[in-house]
Amino acid sequence: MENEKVLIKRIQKHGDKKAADELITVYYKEIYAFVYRQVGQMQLSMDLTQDIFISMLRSIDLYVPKKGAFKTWLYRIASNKVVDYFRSGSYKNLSLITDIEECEFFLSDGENMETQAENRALVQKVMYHLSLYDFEIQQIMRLKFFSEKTFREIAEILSMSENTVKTKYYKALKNLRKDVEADEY
Amino acid sequence: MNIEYPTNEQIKKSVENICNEGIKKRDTVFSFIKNMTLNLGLKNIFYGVYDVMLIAVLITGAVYSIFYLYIDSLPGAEEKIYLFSFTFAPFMFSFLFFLNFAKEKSSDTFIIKMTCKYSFVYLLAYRMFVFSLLSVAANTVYILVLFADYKISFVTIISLSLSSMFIYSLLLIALLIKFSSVKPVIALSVLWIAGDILLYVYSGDLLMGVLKSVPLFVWMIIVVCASILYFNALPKLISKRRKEYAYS
Repeated sequence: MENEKVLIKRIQKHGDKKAADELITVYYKEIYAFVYRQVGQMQLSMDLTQDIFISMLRSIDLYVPKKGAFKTWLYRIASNKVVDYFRSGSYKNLSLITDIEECEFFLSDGENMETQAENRALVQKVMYHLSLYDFEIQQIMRLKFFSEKTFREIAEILSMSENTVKTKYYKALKNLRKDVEADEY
Repeated sequence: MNIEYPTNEQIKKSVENICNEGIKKRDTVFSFIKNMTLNLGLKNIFYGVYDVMLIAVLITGAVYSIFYLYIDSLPGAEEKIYLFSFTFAPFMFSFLFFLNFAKEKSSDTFIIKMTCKYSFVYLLAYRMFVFSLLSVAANTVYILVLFADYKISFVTIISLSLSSMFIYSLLLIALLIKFSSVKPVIALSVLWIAGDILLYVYSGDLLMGVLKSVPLFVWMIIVVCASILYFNALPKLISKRRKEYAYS
């Protein structure tokens, strides 16, 4: 692959489709996986991934290499789109009819909250409550849960300090536990 | 976790769709002007600016008129007309630009305009396009009307006037693209005016000599090149400013 910066420059200056094709192909599977881990359906994941990359191309003139890595900027777009989806009417309608079996993809060996999510109904409750949180909190939680990013990487993506990300994450995790437990009663 | 990936064929097709949807034809200055006119309408684009344009036209006319009344008392009146047309040409454009900018900045809707789809920078770029055309028209009309009785080459005078105006406009827009602040533009205008006055008063003959030594066709080439560069720079101004807002 041609140097990433060269590809980006070609897209910015000339609207080069070949360069865009090459650049997107590199990141497609990674972004797709990030989305899939949250929505669990192939077609929906493809649709959202497509939206993410279209947004990326339409705003690529705004990307300045000096301000940060391209991957960081791309993840910012991706997390915005995913949170938008979960706050939208489409998700709210979908979550009402989703077969509980589809939650199987959530079962993974993660830390604390994730490891506890063996119960599929519990997972669905977690996803539901998470979708009600504000935009920034959702971004942090989703990047931590579903893209295996470190706090440092999340801080870079969201242009926050690492300490702020950690504080918000653990506070949100605590609230999420309370909300899910309150739901069970 | 078991992720169900699409096939390579499906990915390839998806990427193709993304590129077709995501990469649109670049806006030229004329498509930018056309789209904005159709989407917003002239009434909204120039809302609150008609008074600025009228004042600029009137003040420019007044200065030309004062010069016209005064010129007969100057030696070498014809040469003075050439000199005046060259040095004074950017005045109206400069006046329009700064008055419009100052008015927008002081208005209550400035912040709102900054966040709209068609933000202040789009309005600025559109208006600069129109201001430059208006300045060209006004300068040309004043020259033709006021100096009709003098034995001067109108083609030469208008070429001098347009060259000066477009060189100034090009420098102005280059500074706006290069720097985030409007201060370099103010500095340019002050230096241009001060330089003109000093040259006019102390080295008028030298400047006249330089202007006369350049063949007419060269002035015409300068007009064409400077105007093309200027109009092509307008979309770049928008792109630059959008980047700044995106990262602010």
